[in-house]
Amino acid sequence: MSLVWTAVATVGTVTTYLAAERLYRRVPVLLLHPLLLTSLLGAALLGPRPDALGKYLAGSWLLQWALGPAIAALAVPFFQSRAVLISNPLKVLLSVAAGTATSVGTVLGLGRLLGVSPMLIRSLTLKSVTAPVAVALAPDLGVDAGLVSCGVVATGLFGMAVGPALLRLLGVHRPLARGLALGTVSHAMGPARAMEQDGPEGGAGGAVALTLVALLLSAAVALLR
Amino acid sequence: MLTVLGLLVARLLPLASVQRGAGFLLRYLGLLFVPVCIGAVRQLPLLRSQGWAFAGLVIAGALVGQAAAGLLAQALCRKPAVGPAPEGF
Repeated sequence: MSLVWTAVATVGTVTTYLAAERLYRRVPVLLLHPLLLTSLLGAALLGPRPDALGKYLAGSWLLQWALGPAIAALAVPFFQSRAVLISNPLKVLLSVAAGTATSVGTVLGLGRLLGVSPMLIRSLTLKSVTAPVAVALAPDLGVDAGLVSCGVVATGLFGMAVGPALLRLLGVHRPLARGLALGTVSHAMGPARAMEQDGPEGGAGGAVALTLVALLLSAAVALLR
Repeated sequence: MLTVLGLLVARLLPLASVQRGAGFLLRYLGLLFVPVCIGAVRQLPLLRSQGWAFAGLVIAGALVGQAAAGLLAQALCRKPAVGPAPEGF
């Protein structure tokens, strides 16, 4: 791990991301989401150069390390939104568990039906888990963290894009239910979207759902192992 | 995460002391995730050959999961007394 690559990788990633964020704030098009844009730029730049890619990945240890504390930090919004869980403990848990089970079940069932590679199916079972937890769970399932992260980002963006319209179509108009649904599928991008669409109640539902999904699937992976 | 949550619930850890740090980490969660995503280019051959399956499973899983969670929550849950919006997102 060289100091130069650490500096290049960290500073390069941070400045690119912050610039992408400013762009996204001015042009809020989903395909310009800072995470997507920065990753695609990085992939285009480093993809054809496996040597530089390896050095970049080793150099970005600081950012990757921070994903650990970020998991612990999830406790804070969960705690702040505890009213949601306290008001309907079983019902909230049941809704989130049902959403998670059907979503994972769809991936497993449809994947097998279509003859998708088992490696890809297994990676996509983690697609609705918040990024830091999904990356931590990937080795336990024997899948590549990069592949898992593709699924996580794609699901987050897709759910965020179509979720509000889908829920409106289905007649789900209560902010709590909408927030729970968005958080169940779109992890950290869910509460952000729910807050923007449905106010604090939606955001709180999203934050609770995101944490519950991470806990449920962590427990499931631990049991399966 | 469970440790921090336990300490918060037990009031051993005042919320104010971790709020700023946690808010900062979660605010830039996307940034922390960039290197892992860039690392995914190493899986490009698999994604290229199974791209349609990848997209199909992501779309189907997301639609079904959102519909199930939303409909069930709408049918079951009472309105909670929610305080201020959760921070960091």
